[in-house]
Amino acid sequence: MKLNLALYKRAILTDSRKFILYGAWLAMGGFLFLQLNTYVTIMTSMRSFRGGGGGINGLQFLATLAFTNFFFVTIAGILGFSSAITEEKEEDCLGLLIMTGISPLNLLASKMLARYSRGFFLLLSQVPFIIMAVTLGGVSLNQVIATYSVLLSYMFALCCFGTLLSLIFSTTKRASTVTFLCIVVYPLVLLLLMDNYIIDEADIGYFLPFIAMGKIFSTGFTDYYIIEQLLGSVISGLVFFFLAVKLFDRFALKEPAEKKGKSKFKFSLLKKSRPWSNAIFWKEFTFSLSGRKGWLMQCLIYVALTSVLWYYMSPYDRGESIRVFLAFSSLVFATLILAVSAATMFSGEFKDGTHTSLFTLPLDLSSIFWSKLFGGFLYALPSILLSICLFLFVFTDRAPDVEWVLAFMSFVLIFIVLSGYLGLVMRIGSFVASGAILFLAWIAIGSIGLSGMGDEASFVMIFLNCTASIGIFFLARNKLLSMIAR
Amino acid sequence: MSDNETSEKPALDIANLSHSFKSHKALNGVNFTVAQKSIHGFVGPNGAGKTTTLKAIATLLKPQRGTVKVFGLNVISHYKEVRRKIGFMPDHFSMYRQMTVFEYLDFFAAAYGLNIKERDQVINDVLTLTDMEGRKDDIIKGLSRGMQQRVSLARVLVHDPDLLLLDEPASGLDPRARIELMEILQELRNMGKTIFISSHILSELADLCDSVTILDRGQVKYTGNMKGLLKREQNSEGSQAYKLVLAEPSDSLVEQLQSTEGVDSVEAMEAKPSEYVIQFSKELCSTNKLLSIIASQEVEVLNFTEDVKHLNEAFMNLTEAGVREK
Repeated sequence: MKLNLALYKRAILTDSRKFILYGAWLAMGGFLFLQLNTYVTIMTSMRSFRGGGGGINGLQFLATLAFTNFFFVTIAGILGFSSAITEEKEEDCLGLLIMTGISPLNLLASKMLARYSRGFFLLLSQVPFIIMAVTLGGVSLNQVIATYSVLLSYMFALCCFGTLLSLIFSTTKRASTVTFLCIVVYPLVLLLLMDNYIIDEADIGYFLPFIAMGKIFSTGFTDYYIIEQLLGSVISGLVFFFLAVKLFDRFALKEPAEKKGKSKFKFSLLKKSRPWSNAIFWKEFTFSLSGRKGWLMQCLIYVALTSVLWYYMSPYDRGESIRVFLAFSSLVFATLILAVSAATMFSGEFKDGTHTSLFTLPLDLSSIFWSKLFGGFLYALPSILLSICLFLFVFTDRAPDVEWVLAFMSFVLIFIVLSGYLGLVMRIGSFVASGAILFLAWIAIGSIGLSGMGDEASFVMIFLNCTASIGIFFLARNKLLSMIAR
Repeated sequence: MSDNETSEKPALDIANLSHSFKSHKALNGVNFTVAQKSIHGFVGPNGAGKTTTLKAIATLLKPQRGTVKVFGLNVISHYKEVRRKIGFMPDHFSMYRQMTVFEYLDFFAAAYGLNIKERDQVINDVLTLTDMEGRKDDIIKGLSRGMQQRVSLARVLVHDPDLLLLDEPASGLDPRARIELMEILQELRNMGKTIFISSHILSELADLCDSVTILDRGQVKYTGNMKGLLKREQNSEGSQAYKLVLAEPSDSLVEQLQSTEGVDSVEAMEAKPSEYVIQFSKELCSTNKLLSIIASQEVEVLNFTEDVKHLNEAFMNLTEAGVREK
C-alpha cells in the first residue's frame, strides 16, 4: 500500500511557513550564545585569577541535557502527542478527512510522524550542545549515541501511545490526562513488580528509559544493555500504533456523550465555587486550569513521590535526599505550571474567540493580565509552598546563597515570560518544541553555571535575564494589543 | 456625565472614522448617527468594514482618525464607561464552551461587578427573556447553534447595557431561530434598548430596523430610514412603479394603459396573470390619471399600491461589484 503523507506534509509546511518560529529560535540562540560567552569569559578570568580549578565536566553536562530532554519528551507526550487525533475531532475535521478516502494507517502515520518529526528536530538542534559536552571532556561517542538512541526510541513509544489515546478519547484534555496518569502509574507498577520479584532488578532498565539513561552515565556502561531497551521501546511503540490502526473504525467517529453540567461527584471541597468578585481570577483558576482538583492532583503526586522515594532509598540518607529531590521537582513543576499558564493565558481566548467578550469588560488590560497571572499562581500554590518550605528546610544547616537563588529565579522568570510570548505567536505544538529548547538550554547552562560560578557571574546572569524578560514582556504586550485589534 | 446629559445624545455618533490595515483602507471617513431606543441596521457586503467599525465602537480597536461616541462618551477616553453601556456580540461564537449556561452567565455577571443576589436575579431574567431557563445546567458545547446564539445574547444582557452591538447575529441560524431572534430583538427595543445590528443581507433587516446604514469599501453609501432608501432609489431614476391587482386579467386595460402618454411599460406578473406592474414617468403621468383609466374599464380592482423596489436591488445599486476581501 502506498503511504500518502499529505497530512504530514501539511503539518511540516504549516510550521515551516511561520517566520516567527525561526525568529524566536534565532533570538533564543543568540541570547544563549551571549549568556554562554559571558559565562565562559567570567569562568576563565576567575580561574586565571584564582590559579586554576573549577573545571566543567562534559559528562555532567550531557547528563543534564539528557535528563532535561527526557523530561521534555515526556511533557510533549502529555501535551502534544496525545492531541494527534483529538485536534481533528475538536475541529470537526476527522469526518472530512475520512471522507477523502485516506486509510486509517495513512492518517495515523501522518499525524504521528508529524509530531515525531518535531521532537526529532528538537533533538537534532542540540548538536552544538553535544559538541560542547564532548569538548568539555569525559564523554565517549558511545555514550552520546546511546543517550540519543534511548531518547528517540522512548519518544517513538510515547508518540504511538499518545496517538492511540488521542484516537480513543474525544478531547485533548481527556487524552492528556490519561497519558499523564499512565506515565505516572507505569514506573510505579514496574517498581512494585520488581519488589515482588516478578521482574529482576537488573532488567528494570529495559522497561524504564529513565533508569537506562542513568546507567549510560554510570561507570561500566555497555552498549548491549541499551539495545534491549531500544527494542523494548520500538516494539511497544509499534504495538500501540497498530492497535490504533485496528481500533480506528471503532473510535474515530464516536460522538462524545452529551453530559450535563452537574457532576455526580459530590465531594463538596472539589466542587466549583460561584465566581468570586474578581471573576477573571476565578475563571483562570477554576476553568482554564483545573482549580481545586489540580491542587489535589499536585498533593497526591508529591505524596506518591515521597512514598516511593521513602520506600526505595536507604534509611541513612533518605531524609536529606527526599527533601532535595522534592524541593527541586516542586520548583520545576511550579515553573512549568506558571509557564503553561502564561502560554495559554491569552492564546486560549484567541483560539476560542472569547477575547472579544473578555476585552469589552469594563477593565483595563493590566488588571485582566494580573488577574490571569494570579490565577496561575493560585493553581501552582501547593508546588510553590512545598518548594519554599523545603528550600528553607534544606538550607537550614548551610549558609543561604542569595545570589544563587536570585540567579535561579531570573532563569525561572525569563522562562515564564518567554513562554507567555511564544504562546501568543505560535501553535501549541511549535510552542512545546521551542519552549523545550529554551528550557533545556537554560537549565543545562544555568545548573552547571550556577553550581560553579561566583557572585560576579551570578549578577551578570541576573542582569541579562531580567533585561531580556522586560524586553520580551513589552514585545508580548504589543503583540497582544495588535491581536485584539485584528 | 449625568444620565440626563447622556439621554439627550444619540446612542451612537461616528464622525470621520478612518482606519487602515497596512496598505488596505478598511474605513474611509465614515459618518453616521444612531438614535436612542431604535434598531439600526448596518449593512454591507463582505469586507466592507462592518466588523472594523463594530470593533471601534466596542473599544477593541483604536481608530487612526475620527471619533466614535457612545451616548456622548468618547470610546477612547471613556472606554470603561462605554464598555458598561454596550453589549457586544461578535459574529463568531465566542463562548467558554466547557462551562454550563449558568456558569457562563454567572462569570460575566460577576466580571461586570454584580453581587451574588443581583446575579441570581439577572441570570433568571435574561434566561427567561431568551427562553433558556430549562437549559441552564447544560454544557454550552452541547447546545445547538441557535441555542448558543441565545446564550450569547443572554450574556450581552447581563449587565443591562443601553446599546447592543450585534455582529451578524442571524448568520447560520435556521428560519425559525431567525424569526425567534428577531422577536427577542423587538422585545428588547420595546424595553428601551438601542440595537445596532450588522448584516450583509439588507432584506433580512427590512422589517426589523427603523434606520439603516449601508457601507461599501469603507465608505457610507446611505444612512437614514428604510423608506428613505427606497424612495432615493426610485427618485434617482425619475420614474415610479405601481402594482395593480385585478380580480380577473384584462387585456383591454393593459392596451389602454400602454397607449397612455408617460407610461413606459405594463407587465403582467409571470406567476399571477391578474397582477401588473405599471412603470411610468413622474413628469408625464400621475397616479390620478392611471386611476381614472382603470376606473373607466369597469374592472374589479383588488389592490393598487406603490411597487417598492426590491431591497436587494437597492443594495446592489448602492454597492459595487468585485472582490472586496483582501
